[in-house]
Amino acid sequence: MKALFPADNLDSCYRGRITTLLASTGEQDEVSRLAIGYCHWAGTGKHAPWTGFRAVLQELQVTSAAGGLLRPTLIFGFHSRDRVRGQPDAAVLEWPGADYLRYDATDAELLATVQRIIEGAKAPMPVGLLPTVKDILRAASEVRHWLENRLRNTQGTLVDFQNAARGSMQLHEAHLERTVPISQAHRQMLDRLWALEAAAERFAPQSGGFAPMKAAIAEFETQWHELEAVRAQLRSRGGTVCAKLLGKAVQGLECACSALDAAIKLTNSVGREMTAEGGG
Amino acid sequence: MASRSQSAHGSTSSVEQIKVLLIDDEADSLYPTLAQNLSPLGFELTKESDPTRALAAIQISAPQVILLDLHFPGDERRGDGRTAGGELLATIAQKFESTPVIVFTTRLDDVDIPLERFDRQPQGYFAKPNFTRDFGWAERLGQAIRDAIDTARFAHAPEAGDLGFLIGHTKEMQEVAARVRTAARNALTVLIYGETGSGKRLVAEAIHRLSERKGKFEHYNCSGAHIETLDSTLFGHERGAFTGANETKPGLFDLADKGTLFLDELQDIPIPVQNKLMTVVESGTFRPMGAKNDKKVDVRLIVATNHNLSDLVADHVLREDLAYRLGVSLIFLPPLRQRISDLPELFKIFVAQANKATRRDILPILRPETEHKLKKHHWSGNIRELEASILRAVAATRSNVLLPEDIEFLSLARPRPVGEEVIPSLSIVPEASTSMSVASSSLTATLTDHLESLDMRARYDFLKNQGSDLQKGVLKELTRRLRVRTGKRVGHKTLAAALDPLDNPERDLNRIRQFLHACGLQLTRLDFNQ
Repeated sequence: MKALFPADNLDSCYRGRITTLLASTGEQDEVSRLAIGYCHWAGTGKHAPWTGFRAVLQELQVTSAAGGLLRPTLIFGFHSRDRVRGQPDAAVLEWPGADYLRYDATDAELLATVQRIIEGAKAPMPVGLLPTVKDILRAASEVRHWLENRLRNTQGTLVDFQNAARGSMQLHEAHLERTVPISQAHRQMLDRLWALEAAAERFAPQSGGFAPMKAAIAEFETQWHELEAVRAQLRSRGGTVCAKLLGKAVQGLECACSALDAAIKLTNSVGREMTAEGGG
Repeated sequence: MASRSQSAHGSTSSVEQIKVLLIDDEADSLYPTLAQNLSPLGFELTKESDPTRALAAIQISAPQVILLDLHFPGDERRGDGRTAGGELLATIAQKFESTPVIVFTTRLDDVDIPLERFDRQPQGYFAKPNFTRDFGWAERLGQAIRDAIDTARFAHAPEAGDLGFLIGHTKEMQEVAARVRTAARNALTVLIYGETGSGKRLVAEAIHRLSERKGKFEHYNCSGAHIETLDSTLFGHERGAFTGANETKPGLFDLADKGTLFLDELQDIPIPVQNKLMTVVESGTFRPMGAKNDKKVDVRLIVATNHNLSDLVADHVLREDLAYRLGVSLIFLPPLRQRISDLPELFKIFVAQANKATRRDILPILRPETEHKLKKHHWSGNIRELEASILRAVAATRSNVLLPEDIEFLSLARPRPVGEEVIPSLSIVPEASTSMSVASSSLTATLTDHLESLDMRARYDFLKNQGSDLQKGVLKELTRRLRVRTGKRVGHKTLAAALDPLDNPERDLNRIRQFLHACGLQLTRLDFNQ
């Protein structure tokens, strides 16, 4: 079967039905708050068994950790409710604000379920579903991995610029091209981590949670933007070597490396404190 | 923002560059340094940082190798241990099967991820370099890329074709192949000439296989056989033909009826047996020992020797008329050193064989420095020596490819001096210029030198572990040399008993020295190679 992310067509279909059903009871305003998920589809459009439940849970955890208002969530799939309830990935259904329905649910089932989860969403997330130290460490680990990669790559660029500044190497044109400090995918990854900030502060109060880490990464961005300004000047010279500008670039890269190094150390520090404090 | 696929144009080299695609979430920041250092080495780099666009990037840039990071942002959320890079690896395997992938990673634990997780074995792993500390990383990465291309190219090790492992593109081997095919089309007797280890038996087997003769292929090495034994073995005997002949036994000519009989070491067939052989060749009939009547068989006879026929006839070792009969169809197997350009192809076959034998997974990649070392060697033991050297190297190496230091040669033979190549000749009249002058041979290497070397014990163990072929080959050669030099025939068992066990090098050396002395040799100057 050809794998297609069903959200585009199904979302409008189910929202339309739910809107009509809730309109009959005067509750149609609630539709905008409603989140719809799909059993085997992650939010990214990836198809894998039970991915939808995990994605919904992670979304709710992030909202909960950030102190936001939890959205009633309805998940659709092909399986019977009993089978779904037995899946470890479907733990999110322990929260009364989330429920599961088959794609072929009747209007009566749909209305009853939506009304139930709208009411249930007023309840807080069960403690067992809240982000744990393990969840935070996992998210932090991914960020640390990225930071280490970025530091390694930036150091490589630094070595090349140092050689160019000494006159022992001619820079490859790729070194003069603009590079964003943080790509969209990495920024989303950081946002997922920052969403756990409240929990991180609770588990790592001495390190100040993620605040120092955020500051170090912000410093990296600042330094990188300054570096890009130098790079733009180098580009505008049409490849003419300018020792002064190369020196500035080396300086900028050194600062970027320092900021990344600091961010890595702070990430490690938070992780160590959480491991010692929270257990997980 | 994820980058678009982008090409490096930094190199001005006119040589065609190897296209490499880097797929990495940090491709933008990694690319400049890789391009800077790989372009001068002959690589054209493109990049893609978004795994969802990677397949399109592969289609556009058509890389020869893909450097693939396994981890992308969001992997940790999945919670099932799978990674976007791992999934991509499987997809690439389906859609771009012939494109090798090198997992380019910073995580050491990636190399421990069970390969079934990927649905495809990557062609290699390469740890992302630490640019401030790892010197020579670009050269190593370049080599890994070239290795991956080679591995993909030889993913399926060359199979033996209709000529078995008689492969090679040299003029000499093409000639051998043509003669084998010609010989297969008729039933004439074939004489194969070739040095020890050059593959004479393989030629005989190939002729039989291609000839589609319905009978069996029988093989016998006539070296060191007594007259009675050889007569009985070849022609069989009746019950009561001699003491101990308790029952009638068919000979090899019986067994090979409608098939092929290959007799190796022609020069060791005693004259009385040659007389019977002559009859079979001429009339297809023979009489088993103790039988009253002749038997008629349809046997294709193939014989082999590494001696000059002229010399054998001149020394009355071979009947002249038989020499003419046997030499109807002649195939000369060149020594490996004369077809050294075939070595890379043979290397890959033997690595694949050795992998099976040793249950290892050494890549069939012949690095230039290893090739140089192998090609410099004289290969007196020919293909057999090459096969054994590779088997030994595959068993011992700690690398995933064979490096020059993995290749060790046994000092069993020394190169023939230029001008002493033995050329096969059908001229029966002895020619002074081509006859071997054993007595005047210079004795440059000594048995003592060989055995006193530090690895003597290991070497002998190796010979034993090779199974019978190599050990027998060494014993046979030593027997022959003893016989040529002393006129005494020493049986293999006697010789083997003298050589084995070699528990105590010093004591055993004395024992061997005494043994050889008894054979009438100048003990300290025995040349293994003459």
